[in-house]
Amino acid sequence: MSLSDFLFKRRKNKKGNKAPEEEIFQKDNISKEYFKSLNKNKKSLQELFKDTFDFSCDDIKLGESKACVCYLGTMLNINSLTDKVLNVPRETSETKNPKNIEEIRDRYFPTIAFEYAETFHKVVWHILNGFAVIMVDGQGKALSLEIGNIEKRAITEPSTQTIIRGPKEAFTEDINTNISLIRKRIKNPYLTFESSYIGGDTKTTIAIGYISTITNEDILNEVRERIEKIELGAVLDSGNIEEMIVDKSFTPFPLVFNTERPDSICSHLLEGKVILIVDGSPFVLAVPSIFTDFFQSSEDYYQPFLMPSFIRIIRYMSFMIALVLPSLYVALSTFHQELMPTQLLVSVQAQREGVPFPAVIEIFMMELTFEIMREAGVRMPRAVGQTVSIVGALVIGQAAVEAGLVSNVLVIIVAFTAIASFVSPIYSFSIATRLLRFVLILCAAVFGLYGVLLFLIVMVIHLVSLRSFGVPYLASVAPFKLSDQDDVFLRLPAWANQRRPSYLFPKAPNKEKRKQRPSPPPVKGGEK
Amino acid sequence: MKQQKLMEKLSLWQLAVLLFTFEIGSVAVVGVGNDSRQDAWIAVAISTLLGAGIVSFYIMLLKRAPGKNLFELMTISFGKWLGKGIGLLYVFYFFYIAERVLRDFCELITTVIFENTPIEIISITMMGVIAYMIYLGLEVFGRTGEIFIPYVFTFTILIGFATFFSGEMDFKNLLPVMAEGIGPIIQHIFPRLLTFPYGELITFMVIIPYVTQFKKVGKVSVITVLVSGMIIIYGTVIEIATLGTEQLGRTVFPLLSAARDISLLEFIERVDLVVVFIVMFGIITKVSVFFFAGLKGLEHITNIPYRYMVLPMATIISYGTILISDNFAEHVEEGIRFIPQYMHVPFQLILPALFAPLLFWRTKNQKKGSGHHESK
Amino acid sequence: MKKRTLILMCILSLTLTGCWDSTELNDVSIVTGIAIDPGKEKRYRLTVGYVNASMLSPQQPTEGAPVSIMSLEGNSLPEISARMNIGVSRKLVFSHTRALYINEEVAINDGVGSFLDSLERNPQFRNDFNILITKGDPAEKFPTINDPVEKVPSLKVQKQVKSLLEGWGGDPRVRLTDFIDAIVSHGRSPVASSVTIKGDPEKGKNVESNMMTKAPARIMLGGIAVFKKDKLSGYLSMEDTRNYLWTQKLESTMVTIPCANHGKEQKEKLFFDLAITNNKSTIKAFYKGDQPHLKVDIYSEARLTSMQCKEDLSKKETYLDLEKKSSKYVKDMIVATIKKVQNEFGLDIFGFGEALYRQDYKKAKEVEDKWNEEFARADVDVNVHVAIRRSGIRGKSFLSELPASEEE
Repeated sequence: MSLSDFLFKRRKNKKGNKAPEEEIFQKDNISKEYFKSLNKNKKSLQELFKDTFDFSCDDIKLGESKACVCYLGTMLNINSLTDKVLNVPRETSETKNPKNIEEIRDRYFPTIAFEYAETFHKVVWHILNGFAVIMVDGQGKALSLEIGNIEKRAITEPSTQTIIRGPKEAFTEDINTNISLIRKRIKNPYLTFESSYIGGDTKTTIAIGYISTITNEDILNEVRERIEKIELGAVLDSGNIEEMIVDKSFTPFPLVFNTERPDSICSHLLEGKVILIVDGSPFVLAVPSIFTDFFQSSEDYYQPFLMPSFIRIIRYMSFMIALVLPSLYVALSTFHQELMPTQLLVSVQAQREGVPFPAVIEIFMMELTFEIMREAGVRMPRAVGQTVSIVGALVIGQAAVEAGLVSNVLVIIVAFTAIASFVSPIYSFSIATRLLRFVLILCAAVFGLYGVLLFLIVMVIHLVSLRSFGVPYLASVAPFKLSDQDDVFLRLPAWANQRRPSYLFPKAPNKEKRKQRPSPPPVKGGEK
Repeated sequence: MKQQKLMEKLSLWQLAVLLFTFEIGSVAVVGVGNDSRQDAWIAVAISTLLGAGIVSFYIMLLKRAPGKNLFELMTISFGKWLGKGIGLLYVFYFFYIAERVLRDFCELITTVIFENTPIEIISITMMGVIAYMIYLGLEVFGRTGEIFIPYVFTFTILIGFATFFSGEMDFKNLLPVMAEGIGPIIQHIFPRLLTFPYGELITFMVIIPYVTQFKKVGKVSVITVLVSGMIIIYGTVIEIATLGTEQLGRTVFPLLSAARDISLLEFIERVDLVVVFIVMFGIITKVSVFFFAGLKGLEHITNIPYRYMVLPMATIISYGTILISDNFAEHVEEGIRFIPQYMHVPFQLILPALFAPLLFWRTKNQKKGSGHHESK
Repeated sequence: MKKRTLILMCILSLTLTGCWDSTELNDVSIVTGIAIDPGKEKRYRLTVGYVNASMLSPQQPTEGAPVSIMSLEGNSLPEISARMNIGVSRKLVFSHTRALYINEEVAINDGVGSFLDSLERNPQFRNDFNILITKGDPAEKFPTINDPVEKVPSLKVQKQVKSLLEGWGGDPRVRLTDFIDAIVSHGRSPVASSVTIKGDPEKGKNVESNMMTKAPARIMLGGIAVFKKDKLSGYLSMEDTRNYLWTQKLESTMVTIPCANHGKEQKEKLFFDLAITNNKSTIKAFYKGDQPHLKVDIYSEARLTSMQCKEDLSKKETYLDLEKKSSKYVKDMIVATIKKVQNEFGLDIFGFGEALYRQDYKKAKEVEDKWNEEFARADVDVNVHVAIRRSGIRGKSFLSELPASEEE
C-alpha cells in the first residue's frame, strides 16, 4: 500500500463516507447477504460474472478449511497473485488450523494490504476494484487482498499546458498517482482528500481535495453538496462532472478551472480552493474559479515578476484581439469607412477589388475554414497531421487570395486572430472566444461598431452576473478589491504578494506572516 | 458567502462608480453650460459645489430612516395614499427623463453614425441591454459599472490630452473671464445647470439605501460629485478651448466635435468611436438608474417584484423615446425651456423640500417605536 | 419556453432587417478632392476626384489613372453629389476628402458661405481637408494634375501644404471650422491658401506625364487669399504669408538677412541665414484715447546656417550684433506686411480684434461692428527679439580667413 493510498483511505474512513457498494448495487437486484456457506457465495458470484472471461474463482485450501480466491484477472498483477496468495497456503498448511478469518490473514497473508468484506456487495465491489477476494467456508466475512495494480501510464510531460520554466510533470489517468503528485508537493497533514463514487454505471472514484486550514467551509460544503447531487450514468472524464456542478451552464465561459499540471493545482489549493480529481482523467478541476484564473499560467510565478506582468497584459490584449478583430474589420469596412486613415482605406479597398463576396461572408468563410482546419488538425492521426498545415497554408493562405476569393488583409486578420486565440493558457477558455467571435461578426455585420460595442456590453453584463460556486466570476475586478490586485493584471514580486485572494474568504488570509523584502547585506563602512 | 439569489447590495465603490458615470453620461453627449460661452466652466464649478450641497441634503433625508428609499420615505411623510400618489408622479418623471436621456443618445447615433437606420432600432437595442442588466439586478449593474469605469475615465482624460497634443487647443478661447459679470452665469446655473446634471441625483435616493456601508454614503457621494464635477469642468474646458465659443454655439454634440479634431502621429485620428463608447456607457448607466428608480417606485406602489415589470416597462420606454418629440429641435428646446422649470425644479427641489419637515416630524415622533412602524 | 422563443424572434427580426447603413468597400469610391467652379446654367459646377483603388494596389501596379473625375452642375453641393451617380458607378464617400478647390471667381462673386454650411453640417466631412483657392485655371483642373511621387493629386497637395508649413511657413493652417469661425467672428477675417498650376494642365492630366522627370504641370502653392466675410478680396504674396504666420503660429522658417543695412557690405551683397526653430508671438490690441494700437511681441530662437559676413562667430559680441541686426530686419518685414494688409485690404486677418475682445471686452463690444476700419487706422508696434543659439558644426567661417579685398 503506497503512502498516498494510505492517507487517502485513512481520510475516507475517518470521514465515514457511506460505503458506495450498497447504494450502487441495490438497484441492480444483487442480494446483499454474504453466506457462511462457501458454495452459495461462489455460486452467486459465478452467476454474476458468468460471461466474463477474466473472472476466475480458484479453489484453494487454507489449512483444513476450504476456500476460494476470486478475482478479475485483468485488474491485478497475476504474478504477484501467484506469489503472494496462491503459493503461500501450501507452504504453511501443516500447522495448526486457524479458527477465524482474522487468524487466517495473520497466518497466511501477514504482509498484504487487506480489507474485510462483510456483505456480498462488498465482495463484488472489491473484485471490481482489483482485489483478490478470499472466501473461506464457514466464515461470516471474506478477506480481500490488494495484490498490486495493473499497469498504468507513466508520468509524462504535460501535453496541453506546456511551460518553459517549471516542473514538467503532468497528471495521469490514475487517481492515486495524481494524489501522490499533489502530496509530493504539499507535505501538510491538513491536506485532505475525501472520496466518493459517481456514475450509476461506471462507479467512478472522485476525490475532493482541500487544505482544511485554509479553505473556507462554506465553499467546501457547497462543493460537497453539488457533488452529492450529481446523478450521472457515466463519468469518463472530469469534463462530465464539470457540467453538472457549474452555477450556470448557459454560458460560453468555463466556470471551472481545469489543468493537468500538479504545480498549478497545488497553487490553487494553497490559495484556498477546492480541487476535484476524477479517476480516469488527467485533468483535475479547481473551484471556485474566476475569469482571471484563465489568464494565469503557473510559469508566471517561476519567472522574475516583471516579465510575467507584461505577458499577462499581452494575454488580456490577445483575448480582446481574438474576440473583436474580425468584427472590427467587418464593421470598419462596411459601415465606418471614415474611421480608417485614408492610406489604409485605399490599400484595403485596393485589395478587396474583385473579391466577389461581401465582407461578412468573406470573413465567415475564412473563419469557418480555419475552424475546420483546426478541428481536423486535432483529430487527425499524427502521421497525417503535417498535411493539414501544408494544405492549410497553401490553400487558405495563397491560393484563395490568388484566385481572388478573399483579400490579403483578411487572411492576415484571420491568421492573427487565430494565433491570438491560442494565447490563453487554458484551452477551454479559448473555445469561448472562438464561439463569441462568430456572434460578434454577426453583430458587426448588422450594426457596425455600435453592434460590437453593444455586444461587448452585454457580454460584460453576462460575465458580471456569472458566479462560480458563489464567487463572482469577475471577482477582484468587479466587485473591486484593491488588496487583491497584487496578482490579477500584474504579478507583484513574491514578497509583496502575501495575501490569499479575499474572494475565497480563506481561513488564513496571509501566506506568510512578515514582510520579507530581500535586500543586500549592509555595506561595511556605509553611511547608514 | 453562501449564494443568495436575490441579494441586492452595492458597495461604496460601486456607488461612487455609478454616481460618476451618471454625472458624466449625458454631459458627454450634449455638453453643459454652453450658454455661458467661455465661462461655462465657471458655471459648472459653481453648480458642482451647489450640487454637492443638494446631494448631502438628499442623504440627510435618507439618514432619517435608514434602509428606506425615496418612495418609502414619501409614504412615511405623506401617509400611505398620498405618498403613493406622489410616488407615482415620480415614477412618471423618472421614466420620462429616462426617455429623454435615451433620446439624446439615439439622436447622436442617427446623426453621426447611422444616417439611414431607423431611430427605433437604436432605442430598442439600447433598452434591451438596459433591461437585461436591470433584470439581473442592482448588483450586476454596479459591477458592470466597475468594469467600464477605468475605460470611461481614461478615455475621457485621453481625449483631452490627445486634442492638446494635436495642437487643436487654444486656451485663449477661455478669455475673457466673466466679461459680462457673474449675472448671466447665475442665470444659467439656476435652474438649468443645477438640475441637470446635479439635481437628477435624486434618483440615487432610490439606490443609496442598498449600499452596504450606509454610514459612509454621505462622504463618498459628496466626494464623487466633486470629482465628477472636476471631470465635467475638464471636459468643458476641452470643448471651449478646442472649438472656441463660436463653434461651440453651433455644434450639436460638443465633445464629439472636439474629438473629431484629434490627429496624432497621422494615425490616431478619427477617434469618434471612443467618444461614442464613453457616451454609450454613460447613457446606459444613466437610463438604467432612472429606469431602476422608476421600477422600484412601481414595486413600492403595486407590491409586485420589479423584475416582472422590467420587460413591459422597457418596451414602453423604448417606444416613448421616439414619441416624446417630433424632431431634434423640439427635443432640445423642451430640454432647455420646459423640463428644468416645470419638471426638474418641482421634483428635485420643491417636493423634497416639502416632505423634509414632514419626514423630520414623523421620524422624531416615532423614534421609539419606529422600527415596528417602518417595517410595515 | 415561450419567453425564449419571443426573445429569439426579436433578435432574429433585428438581425434580418439590419444593415441599413452598410456598404461594401467594393461599392464605394473614395473622394479625395472636390473642386467648385461657377456653373454655366446652374449656380455651381462641382467636380469630384475619386480614387481608383486598384491602380494603387501594391501588388500589381498598373498603368491606369490613379484617380477619375466627374463634373456636374447644380445649385447646391449635396444635390450635385447625390446626383453624381449619373456618371459614376459607385457610391461616393466624402469622408476622406483631402482638398477643397474653390475657383476664385466663385469666391469673389458668390461667396463661399453658402456651400460651407453644407460641408460643416454633414458628418461625413471631417475637419481635416485643406481649403484652397485656385488662381488662373478653373478649379476642376486641379484634381487631375498627376504627380509621379504621390499618385493621388489631392493627397499630394495636402502633403505639400503640410511640408511647406512645417519647413517654411506658407500656409495659414486653416481648416473648415477655423474658416467658418473667422467668417462669424467680428475680430478676425478669414484667410485661405491659394494654388496655381504651373505648366500645361492638359498635359498634366495624362498619366504618361508620370514618366517624365520634369513634370509638364505642377500644382504650386501661392500666398494666402484674404476674405471679407465669405467673399474673396485679394491675395498676399508668399513672403507676406510667412510674415503673417510669424505673428500667429510659426513652426519654423528661414530668413536671409543682409550683413549691413548700409555702407560697403550692403553693396557687396553679403548675407547671413537664420533658421528659425522656435517661435513665440503674442498679439495685443488696445486703445490710447480714441486711437487703436496694435502690438505684436515676437520671440524667436534661431540657428545660424550660413555666414558671408566678416565677423568672428567665436565671439559673443558677434552673436549679439547679429541678433540685433536680424531682430530689426524681421521687425521691418512684419511691420511692412501688417501695413500692407491695413492699406490694401483693411481686413483684420491677424485677429487683433479677438485679442481686444479678450483684453478689453467693453471696448471690443463698442467697436465690433466697425472693427475693420479701426484696424485700418491703427498704429502698429512690433517688437522682435531673435535669439541666435548656435551656428552649426563650425564656429568661425573660413570666409573670414580669406584675404581681405583690395580696398582695405
